[in-house]
Amino acid sequence: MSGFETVIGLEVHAHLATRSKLFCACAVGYGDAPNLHTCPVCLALPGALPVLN
Amino acid sequence: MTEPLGTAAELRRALDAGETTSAALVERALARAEATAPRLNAFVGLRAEAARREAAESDARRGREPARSPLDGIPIALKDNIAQAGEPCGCASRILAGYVSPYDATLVERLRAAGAIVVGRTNMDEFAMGSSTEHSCHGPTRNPWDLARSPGGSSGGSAAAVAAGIVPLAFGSDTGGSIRQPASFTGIVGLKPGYGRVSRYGLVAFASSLDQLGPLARSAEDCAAALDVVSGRDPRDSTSLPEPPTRCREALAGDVAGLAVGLPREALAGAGCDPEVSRAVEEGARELEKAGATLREVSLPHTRYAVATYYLICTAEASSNLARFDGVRYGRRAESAAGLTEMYERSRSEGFGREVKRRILLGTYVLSAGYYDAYYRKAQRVRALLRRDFEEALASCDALLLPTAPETAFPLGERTADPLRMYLSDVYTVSANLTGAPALSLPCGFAGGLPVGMQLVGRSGDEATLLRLADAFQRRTDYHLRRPELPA
Repeated sequence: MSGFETVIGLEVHAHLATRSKLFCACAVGYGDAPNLHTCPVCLALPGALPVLN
Repeated sequence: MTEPLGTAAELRRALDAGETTSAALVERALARAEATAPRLNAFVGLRAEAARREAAESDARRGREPARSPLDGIPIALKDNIAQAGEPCGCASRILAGYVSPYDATLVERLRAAGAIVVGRTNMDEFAMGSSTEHSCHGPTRNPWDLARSPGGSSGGSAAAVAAGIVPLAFGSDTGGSIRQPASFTGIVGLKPGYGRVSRYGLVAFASSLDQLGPLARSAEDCAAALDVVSGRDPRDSTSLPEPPTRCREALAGDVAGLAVGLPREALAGAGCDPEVSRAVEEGARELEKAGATLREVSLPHTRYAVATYYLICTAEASSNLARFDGVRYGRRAESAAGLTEMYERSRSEGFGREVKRRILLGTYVLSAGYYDAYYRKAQRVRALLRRDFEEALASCDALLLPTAPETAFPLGERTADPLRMYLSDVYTVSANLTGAPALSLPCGFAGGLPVGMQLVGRSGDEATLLRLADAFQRRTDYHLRRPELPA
C-alpha cells in the first residue's frame, strides 16, 4: 500500500428547504401525488434547458 | 407540379397587394412538398391541417390589422430537432420514435406570434451529427441540383426544401457548419447567428457550447427578416444574450462602401480545397470590392487545428447531452429486457445509429479520467487561441471571407464509410462555432453545374454587417435566383 494515497470523499444528499426546484420553477411538495410537479425541464424532455432558479 | 415559391419578401408583397392568400401559398407548399417527396425526401412530416387553419387565420387578419411581421402568412419549415407542441420531434433517430413534444421551442413561439406558418419538419442527420443528411432513420435527403448527390448536412432537409422552392424559408441548427454547408451545397443563404443570439430553448442539444439556430433562405433579406423575428433575450436559455431582437432588415443599405473584408491566407491557399471553389470565392471577393468594400489579407494561424479541436469538444458535449435518452420517460424502449441496466443498454444500442454511437464513444473516452487534460482541456486552450486569431483579424476588418466548404456537393454514399473524410467537409465552418462568431454562407458561383458557397464571418454581435454585405452582393449578382430543374 506504500504507493497509494488515501483520499476520502463524502457525497451528501440533503433536501433543500425551498418551495421550488433548483433548475426550474416547479413546486416542491414531498408526499404529493407522483408526476404532479413536473415540466419539460425537470422531465429532461428533448430540447429543455435547465436554468438556475 | 406546382410552381416553386418565391422569396418571403416577394410573397409578402403579393399578399399585401391582394394578389394571393396565405391559404393559397400553404396549398402550394404542401402540394410541392408531396410532389417532390419521392425524389428529395426533404420532409419527415407535414402538418397540413394545422397549417391550413393558421393560413385561414392569417388571411382573416389581413386588411383588418397590420401584418404581424414580414413572415405573417408565409409558409416555412423547421428541422426535426426543434420542439413544436403537439408534433413529433424525432431528430431523425429511432430512439425518439413515437415521441410528441408537449411544448414549443422559444423560436417556435416567436415564429407563431409573428404569423409564420410551419408546414412541416425537415430531414437531418441523426441528432444533427453529420455533414450529408445520410445518417437519418428516414433515409438520405437528395440535392435538388443533382439527385445523386448529398444536399450537405446536417440541416440538409431544410436546405433542400428551400432550394427546391417548397418553402421560401426554413430553420436549421448549426453546431459545426450544419446550416452553412448545406446552404452552400444547394445554392441558398444560410445564417448561423452568433452564439446566444437565438434562444436554444426547445432545440434538442448536440453540443451546448457550439449549437445555434438560424435561418436558410434564398436571399439575405429573408434571413435578416427571420433573424429579427426569432432573436432576443430568453430567460429560459441562460446563454441567450441580454439584448433586444435584432433590426438587421432595416440595416440592408445596399452599399458596402467603407467596409473592410479580410481574406484569410490559410483558407484561400488551402490545400484540399477544390480549385474551382477557390476561384469562385475569389471572384466573389472581387465583386464585393466592386461594390465598394476594401479587401485585405489576414492570417488565422490556429485554424489548422480547428477540425481536431471541434471533434474533441463536440463529441465530449454530445456524450453528456445524449445521456438523457435512456428509454425510460419517452421515445423508444427496448422490449423484454431482463433488468434496468439491460433495458438502458438495449434501448440505446437499438435506438442510436452508427454515427451517433461513434460520437458518444469518442466523447466518453475524451472525458474519461486520465484523458481529460490531454484532450478536452487542451481543446479548450486551442479554442481560446482561435478566438484570439479571429479577434486580431477582425480588429482591422469588418468581416472575413472564405469558402464555406472545400468542395461542391459530393455524391451520396461516397463518405458514409469514411468518417474522417466526412469530418473534413467542416474545415472552414467549425471555427465560427468554436469562437461563437456569427457567420453566413451565400451562393457565389457554380462549378460543374453545382452551386458554390462563400462564407462571411463577422464580429461578435454583428450579424447586421454580414447580412448587409450578402444583400449588397445579391443585388449585383443572380446566383441566388437560379433554380435547379427538378425532373417532373
